[in-house]
Amino acid sequence: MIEVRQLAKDYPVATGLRSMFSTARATIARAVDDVSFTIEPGGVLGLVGESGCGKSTTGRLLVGLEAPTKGDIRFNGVDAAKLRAADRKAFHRRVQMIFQDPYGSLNPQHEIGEIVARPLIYQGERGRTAIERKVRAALAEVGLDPPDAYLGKHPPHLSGGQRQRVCIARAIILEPDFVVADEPVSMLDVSIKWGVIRLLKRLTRERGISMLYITHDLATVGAICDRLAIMYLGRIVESGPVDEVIARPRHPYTQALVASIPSSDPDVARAPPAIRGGLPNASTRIGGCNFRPRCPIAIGICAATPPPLTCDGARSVACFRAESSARQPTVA
Amino acid sequence: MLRTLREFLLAVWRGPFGKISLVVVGTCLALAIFGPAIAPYDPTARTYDASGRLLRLAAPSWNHWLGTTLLGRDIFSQMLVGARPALLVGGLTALGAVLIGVNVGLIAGYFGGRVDAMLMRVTDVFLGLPFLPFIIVVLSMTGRSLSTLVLSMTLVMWRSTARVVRAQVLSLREMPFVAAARITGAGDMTILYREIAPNVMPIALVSIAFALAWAIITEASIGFLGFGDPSVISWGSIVYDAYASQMMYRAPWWVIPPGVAVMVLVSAVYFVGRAYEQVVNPRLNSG
Amino acid sequence: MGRYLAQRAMHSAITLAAMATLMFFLFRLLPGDPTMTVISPALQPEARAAMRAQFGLDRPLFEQYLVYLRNLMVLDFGYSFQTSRPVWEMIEGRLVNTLVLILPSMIAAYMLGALVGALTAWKRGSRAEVGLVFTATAVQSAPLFWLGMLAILLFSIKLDLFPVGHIVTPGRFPDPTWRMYLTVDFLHHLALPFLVNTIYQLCFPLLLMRSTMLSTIGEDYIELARMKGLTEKQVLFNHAMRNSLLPLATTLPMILGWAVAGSVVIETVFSWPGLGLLMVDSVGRLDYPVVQASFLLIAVLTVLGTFVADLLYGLLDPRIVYD
Repeated sequence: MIEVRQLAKDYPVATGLRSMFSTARATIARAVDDVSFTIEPGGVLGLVGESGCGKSTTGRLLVGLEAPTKGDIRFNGVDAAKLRAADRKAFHRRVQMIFQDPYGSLNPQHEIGEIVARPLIYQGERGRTAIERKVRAALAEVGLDPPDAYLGKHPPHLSGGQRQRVCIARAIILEPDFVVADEPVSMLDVSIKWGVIRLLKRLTRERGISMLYITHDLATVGAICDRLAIMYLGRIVESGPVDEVIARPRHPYTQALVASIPSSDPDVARAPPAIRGGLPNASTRIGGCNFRPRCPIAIGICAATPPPLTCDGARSVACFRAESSARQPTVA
Repeated sequence: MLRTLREFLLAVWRGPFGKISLVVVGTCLALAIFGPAIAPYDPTARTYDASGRLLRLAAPSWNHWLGTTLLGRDIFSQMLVGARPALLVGGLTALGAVLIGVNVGLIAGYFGGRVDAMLMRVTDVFLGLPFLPFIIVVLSMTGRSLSTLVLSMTLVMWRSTARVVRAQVLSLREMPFVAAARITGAGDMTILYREIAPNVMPIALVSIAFALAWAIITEASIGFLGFGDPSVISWGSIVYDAYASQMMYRAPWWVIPPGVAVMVLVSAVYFVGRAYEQVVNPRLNSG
Repeated sequence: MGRYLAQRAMHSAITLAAMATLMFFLFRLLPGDPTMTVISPALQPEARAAMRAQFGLDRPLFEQYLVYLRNLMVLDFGYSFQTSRPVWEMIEGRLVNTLVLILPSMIAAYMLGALVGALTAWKRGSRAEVGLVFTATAVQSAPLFWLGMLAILLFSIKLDLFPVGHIVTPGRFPDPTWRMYLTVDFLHHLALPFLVNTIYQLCFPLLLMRSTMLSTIGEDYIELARMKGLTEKQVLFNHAMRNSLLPLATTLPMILGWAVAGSVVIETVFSWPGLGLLMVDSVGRLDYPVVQASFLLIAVLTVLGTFVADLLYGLLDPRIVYD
């Protein structure tokens, strides 16, 4: 079980030309702000938001690639941030990550067999034949069959989909309990995308792997996730079971996202964008609700205090007007 | 490693002037190994004509393909023997300089921060060292030997490799495959030498080629300036002997061959380096 | 920008200080002391002691080092072992001679190199281009001293067009003044080393210009210029060349610094009485104060070149962030 409590991550921001003249300290951007969630064993949580909202940072915090500024992450009760060097290695055995870019995440100088074997070697496993057997099994499991056709190849000779399958093989070869999948299909062709998603779904089901599935694409979450968390500017604005959130979004931001899911029926006209403007800079703080400048239903109180994430059964939402907006599912 | 080497040879073979360059480098390599064995005369022995007179400044002939020196030594034999110091000094220097440069670049680029700042200051100091004057001063202080020459040249030449490698590592360390290695439990040194280093191999090979070219020219220049190892016959020292005898303008055959040898060998090395550079950095290839 | 400039200046100062220190200790590494090797092993003990006092060699090493640094600041390089004249006096004229040869020659090399490099890029794929690239590489690969000797052999010995070396006809200016540089005799002596150095140094800017141009030609804005209907010549010289000149220009100061360091070779071949030849000669005569001073002066010019190159690069490339 993965428990994340009040996680926060700050980055210093160098502001280009201005930093040349001013002697003031660099401004700070809060990429992740007071994020909490829980993932049950075998559960898949979809973390959805626009690029720059802090969802990838959350993923990197979870696997230990970044250190949190505040808050804690617990895996079965053990705090990941307070691991000693020796435990860190064991920790990595159980927590893995699949990266967005299947081109950059495979070392172009190594053969596929080598790439998939490396985690075992870095974990201190010896014995060529045992390692080789595991590599073949992992490749076969991710659909790179027969494995011998891929072992000696170099990443540049593989397609994007094949590369992403190699990345998945590398992630599961250590038999982890938890995998962060950071936009695993966003750089793949539509035709290949669903195959990879089905593979991920199968792996979580068969191996009981818990997963944080990070995406900006609500269209894919239904096929793999059981719960959903919507993130906006570092904060979770809404969460709940995937079907319910998509069917009845409560937060105006979620509503806008749902409205923009392309329909598979070409006769249905696509809804006009419900929100205007782009994502503001994370380092410019405004009081109150982060979403207020783009919100179509903001009222006075939204400028005063940030709305708390309030729980209602299986669902949570951070909006003062959640009840009133829930009654009008599409926002004009 | 082996793959990089094979790709290297293949790329050069197909590149501009590639075949001829590889043949030239190969021939010089063979001369460096077998040159002394196949030289028709002892390069330091005086030679005499049929009537027993010393052959001073004899023009090229059937017996002496490139003529003789003021002391009656066979220039062709000297040329054959001179290939070894050129390639030995050049090769050792290039290897040493690139070895140091790659490691400094890897460490500076990967660790960043203070380590980087400190290493780059050191690199700056060496970048400011005037190349030939520094080597001359070191040689005159510590004695004129091939090993001192190699050491002093290595000391100045690693600087450019360090800069190039560092710049590459700065972008490589942000690649997801580095993060992927980290979350499987690889430490800094493992990541640096097993994940990042293989990716700077191509640029290191290009550096070796250019360092080799530069080191061969420098070895000849040092020989010409009279700071070479006095016990070694090199292409540079042949020109120096001609220059010091003040007879060189009367005996062009004495002066021309060593320069041609350096020019042909170094050109070949340059073409090898450039052909491979085009593969490594395809932007250069757009023409 | 101000901060960037100050930072680069400080780095250069550190580099020079490190080099001065290196020189000091390198010269102190010598076996024995200079009075033994330089003057005469048979010197009377009292005379040797006086000599040691005169050069400050009787004081502790660290004190010597401090005195040395202080003296450097005021360009006091001590006295020549050979002539007993102040080193600076011997050096300043030599510095001018070096610059008079190297500076115009490098500027000519860059201007010519840029032009020819652009032409080769324009005529890419032609026989002329292949020939030029081949020739430039060959010239760049030849040892400079050897090119100089070939030039003397051909133009001075065979054709008798130019004098063999020296800056003016020996004996004509027993007491050189700046007027020397205005005589036809001087220009006559300058011509050949100038020519050889220019041709040799021209290869680097030529090849660099060519490759920058070739990568520029693939850029979108060049495509755009073509689509606007400009002729290939206009595209090349108005657009591509202008954008390729910038990176080339930034390398000039640094290469200039290196050329001063490399002047050792060309000055030796042409017996040109510059800093490099002075250094080589002084090494032969074991005149260490002169070696040290000429080395440091060449080093200052090299570091200065790198410094100016960094500044130019920072000024001209908007992508550099000054921090």
